[in-house]
Amino acid sequence: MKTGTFKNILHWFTPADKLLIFALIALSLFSFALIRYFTETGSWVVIWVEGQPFARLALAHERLLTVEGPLGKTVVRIREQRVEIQNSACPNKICQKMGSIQRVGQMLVCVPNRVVIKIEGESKTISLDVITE
Amino acid sequence: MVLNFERTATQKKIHLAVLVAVGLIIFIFESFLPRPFPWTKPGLANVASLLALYWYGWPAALLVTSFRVILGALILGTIFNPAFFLSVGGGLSAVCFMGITYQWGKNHFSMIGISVVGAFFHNLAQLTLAAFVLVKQVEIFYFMPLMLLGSVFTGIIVGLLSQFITLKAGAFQISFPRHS
Repeated sequence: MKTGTFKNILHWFTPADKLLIFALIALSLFSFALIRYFTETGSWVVIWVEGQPFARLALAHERLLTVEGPLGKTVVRIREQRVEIQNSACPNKICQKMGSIQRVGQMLVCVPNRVVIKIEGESKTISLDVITE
Repeated sequence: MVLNFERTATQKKIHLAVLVAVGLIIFIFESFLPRPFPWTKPGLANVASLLALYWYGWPAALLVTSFRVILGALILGTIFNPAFFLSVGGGLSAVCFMGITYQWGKNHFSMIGISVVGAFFHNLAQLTLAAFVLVKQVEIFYFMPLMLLGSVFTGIIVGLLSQFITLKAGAFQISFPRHS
């Protein structure tokens, strides 16, 4: 107990534990592959500010756009077929940490500054209930 | 001398109260920690629920979790906001599935396995709640692979900690009767 507590830490895992952990990691990698397979790179970037549609830009067209929200400026950058929030006037900067997106249906949201950025496909909206028709 | 904790009603109440208190402290300190990703946290407070499950069975774990979630929300001032409902949904589903796994597979799984199951269903319930009730955006499920992977790792850490606490309690010759 004095020295060996962490020495044989691997023995704390039973075979069933290891199987479960392996299965869950495999499941998460599989669902990642599944999501990548069933989604496509979008064509349009739609930006909403305070619940109102603000702009609809081509994803292929590289540009830097400044959006004015209630707290101040949010800088949106489109580069190499990806969109990211480069800078925002919100306190927590959660939207900046969300990274960049490019696939249909993906979203970047800045809740404090009320900016929503959504990727759309070639047709106007591809949502799940359209596909099932 | 081996100190044997008998499960008298009073001792059970004291143990569960201590677990609620310790879980609450972890829960509150955890909320102040900086996070690498915005919606993730390690969920270390689940150690208290796991120990309650092992010592006194699933009703005790349910009790400890409910008290922690509600008191924690009252203290942090997040009660009845969307994050609170996510927290309640995640906590309840984690305890239910940990209880089922414990009843069904306690001879196969260690605390680590049970805790991974809890973390997994915690995240799954939160995603489902967010996707169909709160945000109503099915696209939330894009986060699923990442959250699944995260739940496995936090589940392992919580399980290792609980196992360590149980071992240490044994070293101090304190033995808690295992609930069967």
